[in-house]
Amino acid sequence: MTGPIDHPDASLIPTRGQVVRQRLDAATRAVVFFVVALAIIVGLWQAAIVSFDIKPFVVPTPVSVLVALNQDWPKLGAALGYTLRGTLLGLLMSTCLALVFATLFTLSDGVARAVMPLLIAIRTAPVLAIAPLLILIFGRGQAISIAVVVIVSFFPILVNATRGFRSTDANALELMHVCGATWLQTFFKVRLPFALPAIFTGLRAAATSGLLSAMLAEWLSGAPGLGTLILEAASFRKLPLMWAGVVLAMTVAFAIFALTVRMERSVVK
Amino acid sequence: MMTDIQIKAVSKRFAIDRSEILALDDVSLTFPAGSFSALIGPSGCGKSTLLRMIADVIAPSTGSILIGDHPPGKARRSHEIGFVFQSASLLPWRSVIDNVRLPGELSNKQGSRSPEALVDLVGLNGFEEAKPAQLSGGMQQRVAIARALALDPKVLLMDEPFGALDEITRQRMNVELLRIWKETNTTAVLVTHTISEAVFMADTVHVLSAHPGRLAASIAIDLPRPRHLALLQSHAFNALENQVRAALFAKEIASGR
Repeated sequence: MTGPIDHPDASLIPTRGQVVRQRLDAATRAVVFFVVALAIIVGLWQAAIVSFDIKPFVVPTPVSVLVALNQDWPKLGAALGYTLRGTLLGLLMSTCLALVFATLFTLSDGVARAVMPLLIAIRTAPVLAIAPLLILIFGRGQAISIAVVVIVSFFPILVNATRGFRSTDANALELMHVCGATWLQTFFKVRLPFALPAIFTGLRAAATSGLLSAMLAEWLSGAPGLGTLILEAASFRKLPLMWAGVVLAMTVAFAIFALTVRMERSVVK
Repeated sequence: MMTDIQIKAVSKRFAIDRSEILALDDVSLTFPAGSFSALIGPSGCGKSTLLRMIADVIAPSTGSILIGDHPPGKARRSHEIGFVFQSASLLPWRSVIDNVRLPGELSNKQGSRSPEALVDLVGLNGFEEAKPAQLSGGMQQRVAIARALALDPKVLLMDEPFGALDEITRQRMNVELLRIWKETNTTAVLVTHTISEAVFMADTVHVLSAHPGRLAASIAIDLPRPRHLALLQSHAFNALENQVRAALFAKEIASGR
């Protein structure tokens, strides 16, 4: 017997190019679906206003929102930039913190049991109630946005990452042991890659609430971000501007979510 | 340069729900340097436990194990042990060649064969860049064998490596494994629950009995090498199979069941 018999045909395995093309096709289809769905929603919105004679001080027309978006773009853009910076820095920081804590929890059950109740306490304290304290600590600038984003988004990442690190394939761990691997080698070559899908599940959950948390922080601190802009537009009855802010916030939150999905795809193979 | 394995009066107790179970009771064995040995026995006889103690995955309760002149812990840390699990245990995000490269990445040692040469040795050339999920069970186990051989291990320990494969694939893999073993000069220990596999592969078949795990018999297999599948039909082969079977079922045969 010379060659192995139990071989499928190597040429059946898709090449890198074929895989990329498949993915691109899927991406194009997703964009088309999204644009069509958006067009339908905007159309229904406009039709409802016209047919039910809804007054512009209740709901503005899509056109007026678009006009506000165009006219007030410098203001909106600056506010968005401010909020986005806080959101992304907050998410980055909470991801790093959560991974460090999850690693510690994997190393020692004792640490997990001692620290977890404290973290749950911080997470469940209503942000509104601890706002004065937070403002005292972090001031009224970008720092408090980052702090609130971290408080809200830290927990889902931590829980998922811990679960990911602990659910490593037992055989793979035994293999690394027999191969004489160090703890660090096992962590980076086996535990972390096995945990990546779980970590990204947490990150996706955190990403969607990240922008909202940053805006919440601005409502407390009055910092010049998108949250404050929306609040002020509402109190001055500038409904088109307010809705322009809301649409912008939704779009950006979606973009952040899509970004985490893209990152997951490129990292988890 | 070849290394023997000595098992000296090894016992292993496990604590399960406050009661103790004696998995292995006073087993002494020597696996000669460069030999191919098989451990066979019913489930619960401690054959996998013994293999995992040689690999320093678990420690014996009493007794000692020597790989050459060193305890298993030292052999493991000097990357002298190649281990093939029942499941291939490949890292699913790594390609075939990257899975074979793994042991090299974990040490500053280099094997005499390159990862490419090892993939070729186990007959998988052309599949270097395939992911484990794209391979059949037999092919995955070939990768696991190539990985176990990556750093020229002095001992090659295999825990029912072909147990999950169908009969036909398993017999072909047996022939392949003998060819690979012959080219690598390692001391091989194979845990199996298939009598024909044990006799076909080994120089010596060690039969273990269960509850507690004890060494029941060591049967020398004096069949010539290289061994081919035609051997399975010979009288000598059948006689040795019967000898192993008699040792395995000694109690039942004696009591007439």
